[in-house]
Amino acid sequence: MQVFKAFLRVLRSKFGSAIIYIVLFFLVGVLMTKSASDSNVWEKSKMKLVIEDLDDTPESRALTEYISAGNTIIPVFADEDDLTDAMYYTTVDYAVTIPKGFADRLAAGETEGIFECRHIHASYAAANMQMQLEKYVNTVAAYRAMGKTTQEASKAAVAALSKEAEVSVLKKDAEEQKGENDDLLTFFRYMPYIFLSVIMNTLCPALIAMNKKDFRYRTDCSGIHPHSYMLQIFGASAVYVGGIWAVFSLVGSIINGTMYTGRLWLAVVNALLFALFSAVLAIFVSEFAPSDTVVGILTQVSSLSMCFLCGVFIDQSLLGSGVLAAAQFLPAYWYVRVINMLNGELAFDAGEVALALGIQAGFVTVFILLAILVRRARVTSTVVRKSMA
Amino acid sequence: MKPTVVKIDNLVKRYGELVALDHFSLEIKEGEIFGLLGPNGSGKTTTINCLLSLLSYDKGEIEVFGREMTPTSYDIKREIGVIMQNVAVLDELSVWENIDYFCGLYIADKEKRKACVEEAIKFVGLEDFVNFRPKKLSGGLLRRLNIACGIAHKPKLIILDEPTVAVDPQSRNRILEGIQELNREGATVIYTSHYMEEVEQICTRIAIMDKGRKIAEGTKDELKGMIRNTESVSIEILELPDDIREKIAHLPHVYETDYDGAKLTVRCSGGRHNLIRILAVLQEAELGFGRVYSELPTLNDVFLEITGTALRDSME
Repeated sequence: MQVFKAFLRVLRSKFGSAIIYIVLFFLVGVLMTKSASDSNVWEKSKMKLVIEDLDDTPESRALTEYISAGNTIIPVFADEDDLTDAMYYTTVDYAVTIPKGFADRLAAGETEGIFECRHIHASYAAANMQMQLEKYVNTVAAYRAMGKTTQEASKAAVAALSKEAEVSVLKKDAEEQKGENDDLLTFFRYMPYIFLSVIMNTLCPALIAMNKKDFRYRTDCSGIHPHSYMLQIFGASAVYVGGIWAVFSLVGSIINGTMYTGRLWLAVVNALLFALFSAVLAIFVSEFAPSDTVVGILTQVSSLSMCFLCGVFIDQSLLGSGVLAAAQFLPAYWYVRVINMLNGELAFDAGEVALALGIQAGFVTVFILLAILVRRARVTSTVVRKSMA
Repeated sequence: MKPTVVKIDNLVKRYGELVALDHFSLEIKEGEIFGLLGPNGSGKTTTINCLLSLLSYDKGEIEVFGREMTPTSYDIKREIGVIMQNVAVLDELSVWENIDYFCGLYIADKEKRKACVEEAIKFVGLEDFVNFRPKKLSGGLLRRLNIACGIAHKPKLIILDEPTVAVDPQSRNRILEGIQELNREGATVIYTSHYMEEVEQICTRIAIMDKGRKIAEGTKDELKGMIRNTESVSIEILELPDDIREKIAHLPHVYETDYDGAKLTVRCSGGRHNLIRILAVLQEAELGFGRVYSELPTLNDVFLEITGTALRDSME
């Protein structure tokens, strides 16, 4: 276990930079998760209104209160030309004048031509405001018909019209868990980027240190079997990566307040497979003993390109068919597909989830084999180079 | 008769068209400090790599401690310590952790290993630096750490592959003294170098290699006895008439003279008082001369006479 322990010691010395990454990613992860959950709720857009109340009765004040809510109120202009300019420059969307005698006309049951309005022709604001005013007048009329006084009817209309339904984005093929675990699954969605960045930036330098030509040569001279050496390196890498994965899974659960149950465990397994892929990719890259700068570049290129192409940063439904076809050759694509099936963006299919997990496991196996092949070639060439020197 | 520790028989190693080792044979007895001397590319490191079974070879046999050496001879490898030209330690580990790592590749028992590590640290004089990282150590201290990593497990056979390259004279002397001490404690040492002075200083037996072949083997006196040159006399002289040079060339035991316009070199084979006889000729001719040197033959002279090229020239 000497190699195992030494490798963990080397990893420990590289962990300082990993902590910076981890803290940064937790913050970004939380922010992304929160912003993703907020973006599902629609918010009413505000209009810039000028309201001139010439009647100044309880009824006109109730109307002013109603149309002011949720909109921005601009003070009345002294000059008509100033109002026209303000509308031209869209600093005002709509101007309404509540004329004298408004309360009386409302009491008389009038519904047409009560207000004096100025607005840009055929604008969204005009249609919206027109509709609100008509709704108010009609609602007051309806309450009046029910026997209420004009004042009571005005208050009741404002109360009734102020109630708004909360509008959320509905997802297709919604599953029973949809909604409850969206925050956690959004956190999981960004894990490929987190894993690739953290694991490659820490594991690669540690592996490169262990693979330094002279250091390896001396280790190879000792009585340690090469397979035992590789197993201990893989074992220590697995412990490290397992730790990273466990921390992220645990913290993801804590900050989103969600326990892992049912299908959510698939997200955890999915993340484990991707963490393992990140580890074997780091092992493979480090076999070429690149410099720290090259490791940094490779990490950025692999993590960013994989995440953009495979739908980590941009939803797969928004990506072109050509991009998706190419992305199928990358493990992150299959990772995101599992997440999409769990959060209801895609219909859940146990067989397809198993296929996606299997493909990721396949990527892990292939890169392990490639790393072993490169190692063998490098050990031989290193000895030959040293001998010929 | 001491037992044989290393036996290399008729070893051939080719890299494509290049013959790196050409029917190379060697036998090293227990307790020897055996020097492998030769210019760069002469096959020293290839020999070591084949000996350690890190490199396959085309023909020949290698035995270590009387057993055939193969890539899976882990029990034999555990008895060998390797110290290389380049410092091979982990910058991320302390001095103690580095020695403990390499020692642990050979010794599993924790207590025994701890004692070995402590002993190795004491041996190389790194007691005050056990918690230092290698980057904090000077070049000389790093070399000592490198040696400690190779000897901590108390190997019976120690292979040192040019351990003093780019080392200051003070550290070099300390390293050489350390090697001799390890040998006194019972280790057999194989020492490869292209510094003939070092090999002469510490090795009990020497093999000179060139182009993959062993061109001579023996103690330093045996090697020097293989050549005609027993003394080289050099005299700084600005004017040397041809007749006087001819007279010197015909003195007893003189077999070669060389004059470059400023220095006369006279090579003698055997005999005594060669220097006095040469100076007498010059005084008789009333010729003024400057500094006078008399040198005994070196391994470079051995290499020069056998190969026709100076060892130093071959390294360029």
